[in-house]
Amino acid sequence: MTGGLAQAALQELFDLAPASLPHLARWLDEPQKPAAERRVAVEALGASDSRYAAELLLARIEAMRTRKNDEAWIRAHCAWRLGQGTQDWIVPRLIRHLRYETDHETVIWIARALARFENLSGFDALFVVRTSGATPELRESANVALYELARTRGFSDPESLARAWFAADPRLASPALSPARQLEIWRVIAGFAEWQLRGVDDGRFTLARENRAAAELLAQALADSDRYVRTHAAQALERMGARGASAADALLALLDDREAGIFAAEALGGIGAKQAESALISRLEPQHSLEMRTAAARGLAALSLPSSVAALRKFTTEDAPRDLRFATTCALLRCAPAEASNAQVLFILDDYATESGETATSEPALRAWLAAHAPERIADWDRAQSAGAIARIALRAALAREALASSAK
Amino acid sequence: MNARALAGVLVLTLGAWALVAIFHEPARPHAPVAWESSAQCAECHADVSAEWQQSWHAQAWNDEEVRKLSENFSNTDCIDCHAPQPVFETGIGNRPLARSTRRAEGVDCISCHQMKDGRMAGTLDNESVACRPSAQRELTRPEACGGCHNQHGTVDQWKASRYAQPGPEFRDCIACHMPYRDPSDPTKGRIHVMHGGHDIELVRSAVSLRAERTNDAIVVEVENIGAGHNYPTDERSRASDVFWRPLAADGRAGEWRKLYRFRNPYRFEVGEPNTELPAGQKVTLSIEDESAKGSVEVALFYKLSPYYAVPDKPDPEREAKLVHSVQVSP
Repeated sequence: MTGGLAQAALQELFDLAPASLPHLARWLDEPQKPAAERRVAVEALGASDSRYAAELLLARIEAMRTRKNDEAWIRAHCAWRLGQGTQDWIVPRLIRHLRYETDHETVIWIARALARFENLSGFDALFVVRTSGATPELRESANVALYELARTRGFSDPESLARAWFAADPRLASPALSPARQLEIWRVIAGFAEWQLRGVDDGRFTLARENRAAAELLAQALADSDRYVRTHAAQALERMGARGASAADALLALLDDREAGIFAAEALGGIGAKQAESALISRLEPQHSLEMRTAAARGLAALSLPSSVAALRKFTTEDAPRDLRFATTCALLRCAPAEASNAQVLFILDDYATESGETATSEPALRAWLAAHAPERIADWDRAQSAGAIARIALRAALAREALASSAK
Repeated sequence: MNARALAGVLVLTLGAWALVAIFHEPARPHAPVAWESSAQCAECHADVSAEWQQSWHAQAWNDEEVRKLSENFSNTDCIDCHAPQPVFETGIGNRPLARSTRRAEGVDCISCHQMKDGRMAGTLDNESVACRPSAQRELTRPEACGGCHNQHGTVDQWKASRYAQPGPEFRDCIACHMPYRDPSDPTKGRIHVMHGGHDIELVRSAVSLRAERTNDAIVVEVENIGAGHNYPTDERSRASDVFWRPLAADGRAGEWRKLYRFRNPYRFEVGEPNTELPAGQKVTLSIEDESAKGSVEVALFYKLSPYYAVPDKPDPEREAKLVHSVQVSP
């Protein structure tokens, strides 16, 4: 049966025998059943488009985490069918699963299902499959999906769409979250208080990839009575980047929290909250803890505003505590790369090149400086990314030293 | 000495004590110090600091392997345990949180000793010195280590073992990993190298290997005889493999063949079983192979990183550390 007739038959099944859903779900777990029947079961569950049926399909996908990577085609089929429905609450669950999924076909269908709800966090995975998919067909499928998703949103290529997603481009739709999806997000937020880091890591990963609207829930979580909830909500917002911008006021209010304030300072930078500049500058001052002063400098580095330079300079001198001096100098390189002295660049470069370097802080600073002083070498800098965590440091340090030597002449 | 002389000595002693009690000024509390680096601790505790420098806690931020796995800590999830806030600040037994300063010092003096009020947790009270130590029993409890190490279940494994039960066999984390410098004089403190899986002698003391030929096979037994937790206990990185190889009559050895692996796979290695060996338990394996009819060497290797360069052709002698080896005659 196909088309309207099949739909009518399935509708009658759900109306007359809603209890049939768990029976259909059981078929998915019976490898001895013919594949055609199991496929029908997936389609029937998907066609019901109910919360219960979607839960059954999701559970079959998530079963991968407790079993061997068996019967990937069932997972791919379930993901495809979930992408045809209207149950947006599946988004956080699918994001989390995508972290673990190993079957490339399933990856493609999960990314498509997420995009169905205007969540483009599956793009990263699609780019990976396009480059290193298990077969040429899968690589091509990922490429087709990327271009299709870009074109239907008015973008000429997937890279432009990905940039727009990370920049919270207003041209991209940001649908309201259904109550069921809000509930799923609150479940993840509540998990931040758990003791085991595994679930917390999953939670940070999931919410950092959620849609803009999720930032409003995370902003509420910043006032939670549990320090871990406040802390990890701030971290998730920081990782959301521009999509988390609506939480700026709540993060500003968290700055004076003795336990979570340092995470708020970095998050304000991460979300690009320019209105936080003066609050962060005031927290560079010695009456604040060194932890807070350093975090504030990191936040200012992420904001990269030239107007911060004068305040940062005060703490780039040798008498400033080493951690603060390092963070403010990195910030200076990002805020006004043309104004940084060679000695300041060398200070950062020496740290970057050591085995104990604060690489995640210094790398964007050195890139900003290189872009200002030797823009022709930026392509080489970016290419070094593929060399791996250790080897790229030597390559990039050499590039920076070369540019530094040229600028010293 | 007659009674009069004895009374005289007593009067003089009491008098001296009274003078000291009246005129001696009690030691003044030291002004609070801002602790910004563990290098400050080394100014008074150079010997302890030197021990810590040798420890893997000191390498928590710098170790090449962790930098590779964390992409130079751009995966910020890793910072929580590799550069944690002081455990007394987050609370003993609570999960650690990341700090934003002195990350290169890894798990340092301040991480374990600094308390909320700026004093340092230790084994005695003394407010007159810079670190103003405060005797804290919690410092030595397994929960102090558990914030990070129980993320891999190590403290729970210990709690389930006989070593956690009160009695003569009781041994906690520090009993094995931070023994006294001088067992006859506890006042000399504990060794701060905190040796573990990197110390092959300690690994050897944790586990035994036996092998004997039966009618049709060689029966191999590996037993966790000394670790108060699983062998190995870490999730992801550590592994221990049993290999065997035939030995020719002229002494030449054949290629190593893998028999078994003890390991708790990482979260992304979905579906792989946890084969760690709990404290006090043993696993029995069997070699049934035509080429095992002659002399055979059975060996247990320990790996700090679980993967072999060529997975189908592992070279344990080059890529792992030998724990135990036994030979079985025809």
